[in-house]
Amino acid sequence: MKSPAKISLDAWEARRLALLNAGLEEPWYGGPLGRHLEEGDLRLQSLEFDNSTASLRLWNFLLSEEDRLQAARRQGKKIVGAMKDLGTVSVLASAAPELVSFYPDGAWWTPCLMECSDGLFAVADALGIDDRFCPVRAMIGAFETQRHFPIPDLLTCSAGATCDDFSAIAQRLEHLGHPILWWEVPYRRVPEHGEEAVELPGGWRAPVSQVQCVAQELEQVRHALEVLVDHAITEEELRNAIRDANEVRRLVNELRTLAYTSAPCPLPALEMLIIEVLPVHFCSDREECLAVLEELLKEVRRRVGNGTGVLPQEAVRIYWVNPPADLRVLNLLEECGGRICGADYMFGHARAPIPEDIRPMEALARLVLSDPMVGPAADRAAAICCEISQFGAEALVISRIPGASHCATEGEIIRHAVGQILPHLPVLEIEVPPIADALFPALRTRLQALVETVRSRGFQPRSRRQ
Amino acid sequence: MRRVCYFSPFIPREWIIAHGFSPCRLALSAELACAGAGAGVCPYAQALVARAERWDDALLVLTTTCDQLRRAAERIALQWAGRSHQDALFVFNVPATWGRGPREQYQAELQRLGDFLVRHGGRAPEGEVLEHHLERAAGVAVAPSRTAQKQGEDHTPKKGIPVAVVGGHLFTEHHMLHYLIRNAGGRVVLNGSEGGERTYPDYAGVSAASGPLEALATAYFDAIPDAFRRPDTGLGEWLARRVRERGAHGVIFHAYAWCDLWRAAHGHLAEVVGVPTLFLELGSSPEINGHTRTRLEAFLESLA
Repeated sequence: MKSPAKISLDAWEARRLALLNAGLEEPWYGGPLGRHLEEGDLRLQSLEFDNSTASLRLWNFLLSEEDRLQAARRQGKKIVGAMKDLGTVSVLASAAPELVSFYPDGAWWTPCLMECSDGLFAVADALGIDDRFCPVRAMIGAFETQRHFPIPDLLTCSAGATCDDFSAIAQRLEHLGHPILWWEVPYRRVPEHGEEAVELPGGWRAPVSQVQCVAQELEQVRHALEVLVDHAITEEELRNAIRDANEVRRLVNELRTLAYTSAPCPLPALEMLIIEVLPVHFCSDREECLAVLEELLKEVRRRVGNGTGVLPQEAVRIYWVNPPADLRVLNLLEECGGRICGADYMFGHARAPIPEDIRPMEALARLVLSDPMVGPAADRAAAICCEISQFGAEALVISRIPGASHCATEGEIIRHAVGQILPHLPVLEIEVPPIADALFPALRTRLQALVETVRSRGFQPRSRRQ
Repeated sequence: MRRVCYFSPFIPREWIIAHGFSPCRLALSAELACAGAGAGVCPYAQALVARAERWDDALLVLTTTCDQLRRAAERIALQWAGRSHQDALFVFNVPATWGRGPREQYQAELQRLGDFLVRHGGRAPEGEVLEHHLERAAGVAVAPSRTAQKQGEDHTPKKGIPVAVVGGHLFTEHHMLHYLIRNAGGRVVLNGSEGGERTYPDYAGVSAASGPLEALATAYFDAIPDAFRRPDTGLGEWLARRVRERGAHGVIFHAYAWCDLWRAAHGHLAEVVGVPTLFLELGSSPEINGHTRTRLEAFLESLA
C-alpha cells in the first residue's frame, strides 16, 4: 500500500491503472479523474489530490453529480432545487423517495473548476449581475445555459436573513421565468429577558416564537413537496430522513475530528472541504454518500493508526473561515507550511446533529436557525473560537469572497470577537477570487508570513491524539 | 420627550408616538461615510455606524431589510457595548417574504418594539389613544400622496421632461439629484426613493377598529414595495403603474456602491417600466461627481 501523499492529476492516472491491475473495483460513476478535465474541469490539472482510493471515489462522486441528476430525471424522479438554506430542504426532500434535491448554489464553484471557460459569469454580466456580486452569480448563468444541472421541477429559496447577493440573484432568476417558493428565515436574535427559548443544534439559543415561525414556513415547503409527489410526507418518513441525515453528519464530524486533530495531517484540506460539503445535500445520493464517507473514514483511521499523513508533522495549524472561491488556495496553504485544523465554510449547520427527540418540523426549524449566517457575526465568531480551541488551531485565516455583502464587514467583527477571546491568535484576512492565479504570489507571501509568525512565536504543533 | 431615531419606512412613527416618544427619522450626511469605508461596505451603512459613534440619549431602531444594515447594527451593538447607551439599540426584524406567517412576524416585532419602548420609559398605549394616533396618521399619510400626485398633474409647471426617480436611501446632500435633474431639463413627477411616496404607508381601507397591530401591518407591511421583498413583483407593478399614471418619459434609478438589492432590481425594473431608464451609482462623496452629472444630462437630452 502506498504511503499517503498528495499527487497531481497525471500521477493519479498512472496510479489508478496500477490499482485497477491490482484489483480495484470502482462504483458505476468511477473512472479516471482525467475525464472530468476533458469535460471542461480545467482546474483539476492545477490541483493536488490525496492518493487514496477513498479520495478517488470522493472526487468522482462529486464531479459526477450532474449525471446522477439527469439519471434521476430519466427514472421519473422529481428534482428539487433548494437554494440558500444549505442543508434543511434537502433533508425534507429526502423523506420522499421520488424526490432528489440539490443546491444550485453549488454552481458558484463551476467558474473555478472550469477556469471560467464555462461563460457563466458572462451570462450573468449580460443580465446585469456583474462582478460587484458574489461568484454565486454563476448560478444564474447555469440556469440560463441549462448545461450544468437539469432545471428543477421545484425551486425553493430561503429569504430574510440571507446575503443580499444571493437574494438579489435568486430574484433575478425568478424574473427570468423560474418560479421560486420563497420562505422566510428571520434574523436570529437573542431571546428577550423572560422570553421562552430553546437551544439550537449549534449551541446557540433562539426564541421559541422564531422557531415556530420557521416551522410554519417549512410546512409550506413540505406541502409543495407533497404536491410534487402527489402524496403526504408522513411524520415517520421525516423522522427517518432526519435519522439518515444524522448518520451522514456523524461520519463527517468524526472525519473532522480525526483530520483536524491528528498529526501528521491524515487528509488534505481540499478533500476535507468536499467532505464538509457532502451533508448539505448528500451530493444527490444519500446511500452512496454514506458509502463514500465510510470508506474515507476507514482510510483516515488507518492512517491515524499508522501515524502517517500527507503533510509534515510540523505543519502550522490553521482555522479557515468562509469557503475559498478558488479551490487551489487550499493546496497553496499547505505548500506554505500550513494545514487546516477546523473550518467554518458558512454551512456548519449542515453537519450539526438534528434533534431526533422532538417533532421533525420543529427539529428542522431549529436547524435553520442554527445557520451561522442568519445570526450575528459575533455569534459566529464565538463558535469559531470554540472550534479553534477544540482543534488546537494556531492561527486564523478569514477568506473573503469578492463582492459578497457579508464579507465587507464580518471580517472586522470576527477579528474583533476572536481578539477578545483569543488575544494572541494571529489573524490574516485574504480575498480569494474564483481564479486566483494572478494573486498567488501575494497570497503565497501572506500565507507564508502567517506560518512564519506562528512558528516564530514558538507554538509547537500538537495533537490531541498524540 | 425622548427621541426614537429610525430611518426605515417600515417603522411606524405613530407606534412610537403612541408610546410617548418623539419619532425622529435619521438623515445621514455623506460626510460621515467618507472616512473609514472599507471595500464592499455600503456608504450609507458606513455613515450610520459613524453617526452612532457620536450618540446622545435617543433610542435607535434599525431594521434587517438588507445585509449591510443588519451588519451595521451588529457593529453598532459592539461599538456601544459597555457604554451608557448600550441598551438603546433595537433591531427590528422586517420579514422579506409575504404571507400570513411573515405578516404575523411583523406584528410580533411591532409588539416587541412596543415592549422595548415601555422598558425605556414609554407607556403602553391604551385603545382610544392608539386609535386616535392611527387615525391621525392615516390622515397625514394620505396627504403627501395626494400632493405628490398633484405634482404630476396640472398645478406644477409642465416645464421639463417628466421623469421618475427610484431607489433606496439618499444622503441629505444627494437630494440635490432632484435639482440636477431640473437643471438638466427634467422634472421629477414620481419620487420612488426611500422617504418618497413609494414608502408612504397606505391607510386606504384600514380601520383602527381592527386592532392597532393589524392596522399597522396593513398600512406598512402589506403596502410598501421594496427591493428587499421576496418576491419583489409588487415593486415592478407599483413602478410601472405610477410611471404610466404620471406620464414619466424616463426612470432614473439610484443606488449606493455595493447595494446589491437595488442594483439587481434595476435590471428587472428596467424591463417592466416601458420607458428608457438610467442607473446612477452614487458614492460616498457629498458631491455628485461630474461623470454622474454628465450621464444624467445625456439621458435627459436623449429623452427630449
